[in-house]
Formats: sequence, structure tokens, C-alpha cells
Amino acid sequence: MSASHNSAIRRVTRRSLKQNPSHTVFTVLAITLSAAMISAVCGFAASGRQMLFDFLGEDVLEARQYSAMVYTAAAVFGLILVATSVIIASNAFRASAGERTKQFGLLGSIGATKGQITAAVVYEGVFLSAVGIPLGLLLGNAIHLLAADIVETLFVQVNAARMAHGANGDSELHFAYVFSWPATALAVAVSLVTVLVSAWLPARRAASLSPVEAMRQSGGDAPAAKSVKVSPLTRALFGCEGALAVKYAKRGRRSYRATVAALSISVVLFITGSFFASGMERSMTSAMPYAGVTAGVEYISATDHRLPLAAVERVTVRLAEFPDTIVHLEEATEDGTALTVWLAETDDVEGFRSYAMSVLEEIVGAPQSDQYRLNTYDTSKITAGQRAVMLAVRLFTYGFVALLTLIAVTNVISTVVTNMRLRNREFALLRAIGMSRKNFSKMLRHESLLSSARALLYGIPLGSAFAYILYTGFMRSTEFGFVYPWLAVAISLAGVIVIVFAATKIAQSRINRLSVIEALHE
Amino acid sequence: MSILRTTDLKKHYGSPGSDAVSVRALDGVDLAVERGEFVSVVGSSGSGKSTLLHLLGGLDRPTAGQVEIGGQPIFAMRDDELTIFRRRHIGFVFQSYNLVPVLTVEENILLPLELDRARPDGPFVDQVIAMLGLSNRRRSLPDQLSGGQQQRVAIARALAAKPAIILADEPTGNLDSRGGMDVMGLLKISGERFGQTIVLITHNPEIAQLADRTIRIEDGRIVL
Ligand SMILES: Nc1ncnc2c1ncn2[C@@H]1O[C@H](COP(=O)(O)OP(=O)(O)O)[C@@H](O)[C@H]1O
Ligand SMILES: [Mg+2]
Repeated sequence: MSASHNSAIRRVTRRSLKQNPSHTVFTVLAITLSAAMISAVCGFAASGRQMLFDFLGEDVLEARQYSAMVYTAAAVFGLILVATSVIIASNAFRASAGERTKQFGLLGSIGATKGQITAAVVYEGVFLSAVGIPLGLLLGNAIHLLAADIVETLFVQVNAARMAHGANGDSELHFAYVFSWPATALAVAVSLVTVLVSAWLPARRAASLSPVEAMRQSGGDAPAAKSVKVSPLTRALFGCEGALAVKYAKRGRRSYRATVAALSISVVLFITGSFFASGMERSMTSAMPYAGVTAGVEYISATDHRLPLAAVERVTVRLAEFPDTIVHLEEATEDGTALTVWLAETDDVEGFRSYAMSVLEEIVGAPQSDQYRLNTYDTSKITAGQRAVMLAVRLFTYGFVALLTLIAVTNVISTVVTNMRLRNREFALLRAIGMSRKNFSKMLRHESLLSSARALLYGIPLGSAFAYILYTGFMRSTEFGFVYPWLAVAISLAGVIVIVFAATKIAQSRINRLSVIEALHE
Repeated sequence: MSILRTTDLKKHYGSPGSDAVSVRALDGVDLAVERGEFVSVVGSSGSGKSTLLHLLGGLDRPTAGQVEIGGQPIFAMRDDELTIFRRRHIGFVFQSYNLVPVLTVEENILLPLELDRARPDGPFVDQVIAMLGLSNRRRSLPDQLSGGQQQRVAIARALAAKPAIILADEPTGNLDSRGGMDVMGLLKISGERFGQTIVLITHNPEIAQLADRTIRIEDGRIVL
């Protein structure tokens, strides 16, 4: 099919976009938001990769651990965010699906083939993407830049703390904004596919109808003519409004499905994000040294060069001879390294450190040999450093969870409001035939309950699964068991219900303001 | 030989298993129309006239039965074949006009030709536009026109490609009686000049009389 073949179709598409500026702007914004999210995720992955690459040469084992953690987190959150952006973009196209179906029927009736109609869909998607995706890339890079800046600020403190801990070597963590062409190309490709899929989903249905059927579309959510059984229990408990709500949920399946999808993905996002935050919190808390301890002495060597037991005991006794000092002994093995640590509570930190060094040199030998290394340090400094790091990491993870929650809530509100707009006519009709406002509210409440319940049914298991994936890739190396995120589940349960009811209420008040006749003619 | 032929054509709405009652919009229609013939279709509202016309033009799929155009069973064609066949051979005037709201009068009239990448016969299109009194409305959008004017645009669109068959669903319904007669005159002239076959639905007995033959539909069946 030649390009000129479709010039008429392209003209119709362009004019339609121009004739309905508010809808076009809304769609472009949705595409921008989607592309921004995808581009930020891709950019973040690029920065993470750069960070690991710089870090790798120095501390292979640690880097391997970190890389598993970063990639797992990036994969899990990337997947959820891409799903969210598909939902946001497809809401925009879904809002005009009825009108488009009508238009496709009309074009079909005067001789447009399926190929030409597909061309119209692709053209519209590409046309809107040409504006939305560059804007999204800009926004996504801005988010990436800002977030990289925040992470780098945190890493300055992390690095300082590592230094204070006498970190082996001077391996520093740096998370910088990097502009990567492959990441950008990936973001563009994923965004474009997202937009085309979102545009195509409602069009696919239109293509399966005959022109006459397509033209008869009401402009809203086309009901599926299938029998719906309403259980006697529902009827008894919720009355005729309840029965009506069940019928809407089953027949107006696209709106209903969209709501359930948006809610489920939001629940997944929240549970996974919260699990991530609490996991960080726990692994940090465990890394805290004893409180009240102010000095430490270390004997670090390969595992097969452990200090003899008699020597350890002699050191312990001698260290405890320092005035007003309590000494705890700790022995550990980490990655082939033997660690013998004496932690002391003392008033004279510097005096104890030099005394301890002289004791160790007397019993063990020179401060450094090819078999071991002796070290003393001020734990109060480490504690302060660790506290700063913890605070920073906590700020970062909770900021991250707050952002995810915001995306989740926006997603749900946009879906619910789109649905209500699509159903204006239906609602007006119900009111025209005598449904009172009170009955109407009752019906909507019941519908909200239905979609919330269904969303939780999908969202909670899926969120738990993702949390477990994060756990395996992220925290299995630590000594923690998997702790089920009960609190997050409880919050999402309450949150879903509150948000759906609130969004429905807001949209409903808008409908109540329209007169019945206005809505019927909308 | 008949150019248009239907055999036991049926269209039922509402599938079994739904709580909607099944409607028999067409209940076994056998009809043959000769080449160049002008047939009018009458019947009360809801009797199935529009449904018949849509099926004759392949705009909808029947529940049972077949439509043959020039001896070719059209529902044996794939969707796209049928669409292309329709835009080359059939001019449709819809009861509800079906103009593309974002295109001007002239663009609407030329759209079927453009979709087919066909070169319009300029002088002929100008003539049709002039005869329908649309010369000074070429650049107007449909919603800037009255119902009668929109109907005339729909007629011009159906005529522009000089199709072999014209199917018109109450094309004079929104015109006053003089306007209605003008449109009929135009259809007749076009039909005679290009040897076109015309099937036209109308409520107006005066207009129905202008046809070579009138068929009456009641409850989805031909009764006359
Ligand atoms: N898409 C449809 N779904 C259900 N019933 C329909 C549909 N289209 C038409 N009908 C019904 O089929 C019957 C015939 O309709 P139609 O052909 O439009 O009648 P006419 O054009 O003679 O007024 C009517 O009872 C109408 O309600
Ligand atoms: Mg009719």
C-alpha cells in the first residue's frame, strides 16, 4: 500500500485531533507521563550499571552482591512501572474508543479497508508520540538527573562512613547522571510500543465489527450482550442497585477491567515498594555496632591463620586491665577472612587505643604482616557515620515509596474518572427513567466495592510474589528470613477502598451537576 | 439477468443466551433487481427496510442467506475484498447522512474516491455539486449545514464515483417536497445516463411512484 494511498485517512486523523483539543492534550500528557517514567527507569539502570562498572575492579564480591540487588530491583520496579505507564496511556485512548469506533464504522461504510483503518491508528499513535515522547524524555531525564543528585549526596555520606570504618582500599560508590544512547533508544522503543498498543487495543474491537455495528456504538463503553446472573444474596443485601451494579460490572467489562487493572497494579506497586523500604531498614539496623561502645581492636587475617585461643584470652585479660573499661570479645568469619574483635566501653578512647595497640604488638607481633593486620578504631565515629547513612537511605527509600504511591494513586484516579466520563450517558439515562440520587450513589458504592475486592484479589498475591522476588535477589545473602509485608497489605486494603470511593464520589458530583438532557446529548 | 439478488436473507438481533429478546429484522427475503431498474422500498417504521439496504450493500453480515451482485455472492468475500468491491460499485446514501464531521463538504464528497486512489472526474463532480445546490458550501463543515443540505452532500458523495448501484435510505426524508422532487429528478437522470441500478427507501408515496417498481416490507418480509 503506497503512502499516498492513505493521505485521506491521515487528513481525517489530523483533523479529528485538531477538532478535539482537550482530548488531544490529555492524550499527549498521558504519553509524556508514560515516556517519562520509562525513560527515568532506563536512565537509572544506566547509572546503576556505570556505578557498578566503576566499583567492580576494587571489590568484586561486594560488587557482585550489589549488582544482583540493583538488577533485581530495577527489573521488578521497571516491570511494574511499564505496566503502569501502559495503563495511563491506554486510559487516554480508551476515553475516545467509542467515538473512534463510530468513526471507523463511518470510514468503513464509505470504503476504508481494515488496512487503512489500522494505518489511521498507527498514524495517530505516531503523531501524538512525536510530541509526547520527546517531552517525556526531557521530563524523564530531569527526574533522573534530580534523583541521581540525591543518590550521589547519600553516597558521599556512605563513602565517608566506609572511610571511617577503614574500608579496605578507597573504593567509592558514585551514582552519577549518565546520558546513554542505548538507554534512550530503549526508552523510545518501549514508549512507542506502549502508545501503539494502547491505541490499538480499543481499535482492535472496532475492526471486528461490521460498519453498521460500529456506527451504532453509543459512544461509551459498549456493553457485552450476555446474560448476567445476579445471586439472590446480592439482591437481598444490596437491592436492585446492587443487581444493577453487578450487571454494569459484567457487561461494561472494559471500564471494569481497566479499573481492576489500575487498582491491582497500584496495590502491587505499593506492597513491593514498602517491602523494599522495610528490607533496607532491617538490613541497616542489623549493621549497627553496639551502642555505648567507643573503641574497637581488630585482628584481621585469612581464616587459616586464626589467632591461637591462648593468645586471644591473654589479650582479653590484658585489655580489661585498662582502667574503667569493659571488654566484649567477638569472633567472626567473613568471605575467607577471620575477624577477632574486642569492643570496649571506655572513657579514654585515645588512651585505650594506644594501650591496646601496644598489648597486641606485645602478644601478636608487628602491626602488619603478610598473614594478618592489626587495627584500632573509634566506634563512636562509625556510629555517627552509620546513623547519617541510615537516615539518608531511609529518606531515599521512603521518598521512593512516596513517589510510587503517588503514581499509583494518580493511576487509579485517572482510570476512575475516565470511566465515569464514559458512562455519563448511561447514568443520565438511569436518572431519566427515575433512579434517585440516593439509589444512584448506592449503585456506585456497590460497584466500587466490587472492583476494589477484585483488585485486591489480584494485587495482593501478585505484590507478595514480587516482594518475594525482591527478597531472593536482594536480601537472601543476609541472615534474614522472609517477613511478609502485612502492614503494607493492610494499608493497601484500606487505601484502595478509600481512594476508589473518594474518586467515584468526586466524579459523581460532576455528573450530578450536569442536567439529564445535557448528559444524554453529550 | 438480475444485477442484485437475495436468497432467503435473514437478520436476527440478540443472540441466544442473552436476556435481550431476539428481533427478526429480516425474516427470509427473496428479491431480484434488474440492471438499470429503479426500485422503491416502502414499509412502516421498524419493518426492516434499512436492515435490508445495509445487507444489499454488504455493510453488515446476515444471520442467514446470501446477496449476489452481478452473480457474485458478496458474503463469500473477505472483509477487505468486500470493502473494496463496495467502494467501487455501490453508492450509499444513509438515513443519518454519515458525513465525516471533520471534513469539508468537498472533502466528504471526494473521500470514497481518495480512499480508492481513484482520480475524480472533476467536471462531473462539479456538475453534481451544482445540481445539488452546494456550490457555495464547498468549504463548509457538515455541522454548519442544515439537515437537508447534509442529505444533499451525502447524495453527492454517493454519485461522485458513478457507481453501478445506488442504495439510498430515505434520501428525501429531510427535504421539502420540491427539494425532494429535485433530488429524485437528479437520481433518475444519473441513473439513466450511467445505466445505474437504484434501490431507494421512502415514506413518500408520490416519490415511490416515480420508481419502475415498488416493494413493500412488513415485519421483515416482502409482502407485495
Ligand atoms: N443493531 C440492532 N440491534 C437490535 N435490533 C436492531 C438493530 N438494528 C435494527 N434493529 C431492529 O430491527 C428492526 C428493523 O429495523 P430497521 O431496518 O432499521 O427498520 P426501518 O428502517 O424499516 O425503520 C427494528 O425492530 C429495529 O429495532
Ligand atoms: Mg430505516
